[in-house]
Amino acid sequence: MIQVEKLTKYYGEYAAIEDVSFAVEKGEIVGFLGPNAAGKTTTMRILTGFLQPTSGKARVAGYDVVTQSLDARRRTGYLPENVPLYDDMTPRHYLRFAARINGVEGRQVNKRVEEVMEATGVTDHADVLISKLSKGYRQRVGIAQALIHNPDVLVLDEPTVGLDPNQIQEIRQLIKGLAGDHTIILSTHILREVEMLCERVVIIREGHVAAMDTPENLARSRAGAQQVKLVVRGPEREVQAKLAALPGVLRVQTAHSADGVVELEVEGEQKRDVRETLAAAVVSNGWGLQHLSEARVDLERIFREITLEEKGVAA
Amino acid sequence: MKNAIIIMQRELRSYFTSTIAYTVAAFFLFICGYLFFSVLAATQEASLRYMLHNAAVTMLLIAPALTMRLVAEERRSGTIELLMTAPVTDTQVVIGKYLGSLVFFLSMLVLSLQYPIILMRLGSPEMGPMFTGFLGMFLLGAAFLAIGLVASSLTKNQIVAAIGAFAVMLLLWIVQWAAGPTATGWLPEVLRQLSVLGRFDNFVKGVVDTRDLVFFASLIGFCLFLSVRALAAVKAR
Repeated sequence: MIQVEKLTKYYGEYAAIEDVSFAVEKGEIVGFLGPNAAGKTTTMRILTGFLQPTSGKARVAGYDVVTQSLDARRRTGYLPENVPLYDDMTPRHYLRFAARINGVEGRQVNKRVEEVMEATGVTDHADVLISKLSKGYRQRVGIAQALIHNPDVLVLDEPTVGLDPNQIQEIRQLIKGLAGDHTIILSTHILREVEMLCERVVIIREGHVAAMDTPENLARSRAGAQQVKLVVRGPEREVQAKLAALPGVLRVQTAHSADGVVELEVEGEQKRDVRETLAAAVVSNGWGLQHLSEARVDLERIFREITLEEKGVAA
Repeated sequence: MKNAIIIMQRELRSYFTSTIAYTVAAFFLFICGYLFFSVLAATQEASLRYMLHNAAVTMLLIAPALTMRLVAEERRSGTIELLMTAPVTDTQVVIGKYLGSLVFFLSMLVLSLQYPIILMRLGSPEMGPMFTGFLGMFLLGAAFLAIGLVASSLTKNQIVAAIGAFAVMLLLWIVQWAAGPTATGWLPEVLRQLSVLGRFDNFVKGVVDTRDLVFFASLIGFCLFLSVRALAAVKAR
């Protein structure tokens, strides 16, 4: 749905992004992760036609964003970082305007406006001047605007920034509900958000793509091994020895042991998932399996490592 | 064209809900009324010639006030991103915005038609010069609004846009002074040709010269072209 090849943008001498390439499949939610000024917004602006790239190609829904800009824009909904609202309009009038300039057919306009207001929860504030709306409602009107023409591709630049925790939760639910029908790229520097929403992550650092994968794979590849947490009722030494001998298991360590219950940390080979092997071994030895889980992906650490490395201050 | 109309409608909505627009309209109509009354009382002549000639000065203030917001405010607030990522061309944006300011100006002008109507009830004015006088006023306003739109497209600051537009308009107003009344040669001739005031006066006198029409039309066309280029430059920056 989105193909980006060697995209480069210079502001004067300064390269905002350089040789950025990635692709997004139909229906995916992809997270754009990176520190401030890494080039997230620049990339999004090129995808939506607001900026011309210095070199490189980008296609959205099959249309080149430079040479077939209008066709690409017709199929893209965009929420810029600064939500583009006219303060002297009400959400209803604003969304009607957004619908019409985005090519929604005359008879469909009012129906579409009601639909997106319902979906984003702005119906009860539909006739309040936008200048009087709270940050949360402004953000929702902005998202409603991006959805108005039912675009194939949604580009959301920091959709939850500046919202309170309840609002963030609501907006995340909303975005999650949109996946499948829409292909979504969203940028954020909130790592939890990426874990919750995104199937894949593109980490950008200093205008380059530093990493691109699912959050789980990213964590695994970085840790160099799969981390599994295991709680077993059984004899500590024997459990440890037997599990360590299993194929694919690299290391077994006892974290805690009391009352015949052992808490273990197991490292497995990165390429094979050792969870089922572990479970089978525990059960066939007649021990009690109380808990087994892959250790939570510590994206925070990964992010710090990836974005800080090569600067000599790796975390 | 449909897209330009949609943008024009939004501009008009914005004018009719803004205090600046109402202040400008009130100012224009008040000055017109004052000029109408004082000229009529002094000359007892059923003509709008002196009133229109003097009222034209207000355009120097009105045009920047009506146009300074058009693009500059969108660039400052970021709403330009909405327009430029929607499937509309830069030309449609520029034409829509220009038409918005033009229609608002026209509605002001229509309100000032009360003065010819009053004259027609009081005496028997010559219809020709009154008509051409208003046509001249419309063309002068249309040209100045186009200049104001260029200024507004070049900056994020409304004040800068207004002052820039005012400077260019004032210069076009008095540009023939440098030529003097009698000097000959190509430069004085060019300066005289550029003078908007001389061309406007022809209309007020009742003279419709094709050269004047072409002048105003090309000035407007050139300004709209510059505005489109200025918008395109935002993208390529």
